[in-house]
Amino acid sequence: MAMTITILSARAGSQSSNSAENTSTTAKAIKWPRPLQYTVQELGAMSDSNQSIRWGCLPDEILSHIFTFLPINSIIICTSVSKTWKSLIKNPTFITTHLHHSHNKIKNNLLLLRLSRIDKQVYTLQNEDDPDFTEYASFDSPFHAPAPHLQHPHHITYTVVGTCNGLLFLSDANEFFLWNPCVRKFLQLPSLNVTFTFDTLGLSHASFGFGFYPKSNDYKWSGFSPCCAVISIMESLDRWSMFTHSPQVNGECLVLLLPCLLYALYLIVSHRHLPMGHCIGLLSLIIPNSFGI
Amino acid sequence: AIQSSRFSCVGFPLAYIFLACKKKSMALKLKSSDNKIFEVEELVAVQSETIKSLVEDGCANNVIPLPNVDSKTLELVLDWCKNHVDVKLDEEKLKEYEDKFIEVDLAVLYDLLMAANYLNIKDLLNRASQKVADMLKGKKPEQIRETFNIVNDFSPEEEEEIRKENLWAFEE
Repeated sequence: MAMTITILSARAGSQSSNSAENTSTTAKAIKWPRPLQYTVQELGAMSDSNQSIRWGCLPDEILSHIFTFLPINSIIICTSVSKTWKSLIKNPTFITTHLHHSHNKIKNNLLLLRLSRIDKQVYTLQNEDDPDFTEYASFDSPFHAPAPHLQHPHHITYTVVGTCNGLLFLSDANEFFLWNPCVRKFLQLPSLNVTFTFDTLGLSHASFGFGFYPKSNDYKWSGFSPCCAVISIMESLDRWSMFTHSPQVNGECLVLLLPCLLYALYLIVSHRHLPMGHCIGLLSLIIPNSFGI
Repeated sequence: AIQSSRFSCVGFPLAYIFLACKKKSMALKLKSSDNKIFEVEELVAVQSETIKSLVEDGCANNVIPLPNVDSKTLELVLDWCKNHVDVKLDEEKLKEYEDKFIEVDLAVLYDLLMAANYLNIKDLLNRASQKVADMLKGKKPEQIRETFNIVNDFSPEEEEEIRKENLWAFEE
């Protein structure tokens, strides 16, 4: 499962990188005559040995380029250097470029593990291709603070629904979180107004999907409840949209949502008595209207 | 077999003459901001995408003015280009050269960044940016401001807010 996820996120990364390259080439096309306009000022700066004017007036594009070579914690520190630096770093184009840069740097696949310790959950990224399976990074789960409405807060386990471009979509079927472990920030999403069935073991048969949708350059997440055959898609950060869909499968089948929402929703059909991962069919469901094209 | 050997006999000197002509005739003249003329081989100069597009558009017959690059910087940049004509030659040696090349003071580094950006020389821009990034790494905001002489335009409250939001990054 995690392997598929790594590949998927890499693919999404290359998609976004293409668009980033496109924008950079168009930027270059108009760039050429521009420096002539500030020739006099620039020349003055160049022959001036005083550095105070120099670094302050470094063009934004060069500054952004420098920032792409920085690790995430240094980037965060740079946001508190000056307002210009902060706005450059918070720029969505820069974020995409930095993501693309990180994708290129990390050549091998990373496997995400969730480890439950006595009082908290820990997520680690392991180098999959490394024979020693060394740890690449580890993050404390942000959800270990005791929730007031639960008697045994440490028993909450959030399943990783999907990962994409370094974002994790976590859920326990009632609560949904979008988490960026690299910047240690998470976002709670509104809960879903669908009753999910639980079997005797207390497991929910609902399945969720999460992915990057390049057409709108946005992330989408969705839920599927087999008992009432309702598919819900999160359109924006505060609204789920629902529609009914009944795949033509009998009661012995499990329908799982593949965490891939690139151009359509994919439903994997599996048999109840088959081990996980054995699928017997793939239904794809194209939803042009609700994908906000 | 006779046919093919005749072909190769004729083909070889032709190609040789063609290559020789191409190499010899293509020297470009670049003029720095302080009016110094640099004569360089086309192969060296076209590592700058800016110059390359000028050559392709046929605008490189006379002297190419580079009003944004002074002679001191241009000399450095051209030295970089000469050493990057054939990057496949010796990777280790090239890396050694690059590391030595980029060991310059901040003022020169700034000029190199500006020139690499203006002339659009990707590998030089990357190496210079990497160098600046290495200098930023592990520094506190006030140390960064001091090194690069940047004015802090945040109010103390605003700065504290950013710090609080991302405590982990500031503490590591």
